[in-house]
Amino acid sequence: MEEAHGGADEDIAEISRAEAEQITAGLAARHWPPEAARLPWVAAAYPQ
Amino acid sequence: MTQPLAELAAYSSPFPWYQAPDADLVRLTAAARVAGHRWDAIAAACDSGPGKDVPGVIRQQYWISPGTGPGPLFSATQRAARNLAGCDAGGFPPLTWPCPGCREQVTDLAPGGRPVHAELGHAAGCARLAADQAADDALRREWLPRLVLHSEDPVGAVQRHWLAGRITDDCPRCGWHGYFCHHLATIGGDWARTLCDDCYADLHPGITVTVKFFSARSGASSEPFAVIRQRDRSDHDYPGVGHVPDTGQRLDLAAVLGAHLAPRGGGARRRR
Repeated sequence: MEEAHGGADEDIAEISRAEAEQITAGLAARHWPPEAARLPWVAAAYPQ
Repeated sequence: MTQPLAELAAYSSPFPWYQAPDADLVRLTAAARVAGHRWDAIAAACDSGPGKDVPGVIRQQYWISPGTGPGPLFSATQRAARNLAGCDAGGFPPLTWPCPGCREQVTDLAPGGRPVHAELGHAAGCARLAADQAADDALRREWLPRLVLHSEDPVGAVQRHWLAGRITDDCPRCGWHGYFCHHLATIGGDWARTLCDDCYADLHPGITVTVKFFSARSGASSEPFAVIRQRDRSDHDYPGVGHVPDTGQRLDLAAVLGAHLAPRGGGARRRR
């Protein structure tokens, strides 16, 4: 099912926590030094 | 004023970072960081814009930066570093400086935030990082209580406080950066680690939180450019505001979030 609104073309899709952590780690690695992997919100998708 | 700040401020007003050559901007801001200045202090020292006219007593009461804040300076320095590296270098190269405490090369992830999160690369036990973090803690413990109108009764270790006005800050627990519009929360009364209201809900024993994750992807790309974390709370009768944990994209995600939160009036497609 898809709901379309307005003129923007971003896609928002629900994902699992594991997928969220994988994407977050990839984004951080693309923009930041390797040490950023230890930041709490990069290491875990949901705070402990 | 130390040498790098004086040299940077000598460029034409009101904002020297629009006038300084790229190489000078990168060199002087790095030298100022080595000398111990925070990004907001560098920006304030070099800013002769109209914000200087706001009376000091008003700035202190509402924690208003006298000028534009450190964001434009940090962004201008990132652009300067990219210009120097060449367009083929891809995204923004990291802004680095040699730490005089541990001799390591340190990368600043952002112009603000807690030093333990924003300054990466220090050696374990670095005295400079410890001093930077202690100074940040002291600043928060001094100023944040002054911004609070009312404090609710503690619930266990967690306590919520009502702000007199909106502030911009980082949540050290979940990594969200943005406006704290109404509330701050403390754990054990520690004002150095104030949390966002969603983390308050996480820790409140009487509030049930349901979390969902979403990827945001441009229609033209197969790769997501952000992850959105949405927390629905039993004490709210409306959907949670999605948060985007900071991963350095420097994007304006308001349109995406707005679409996600208001499925009848947004600007994006939501797939199920």
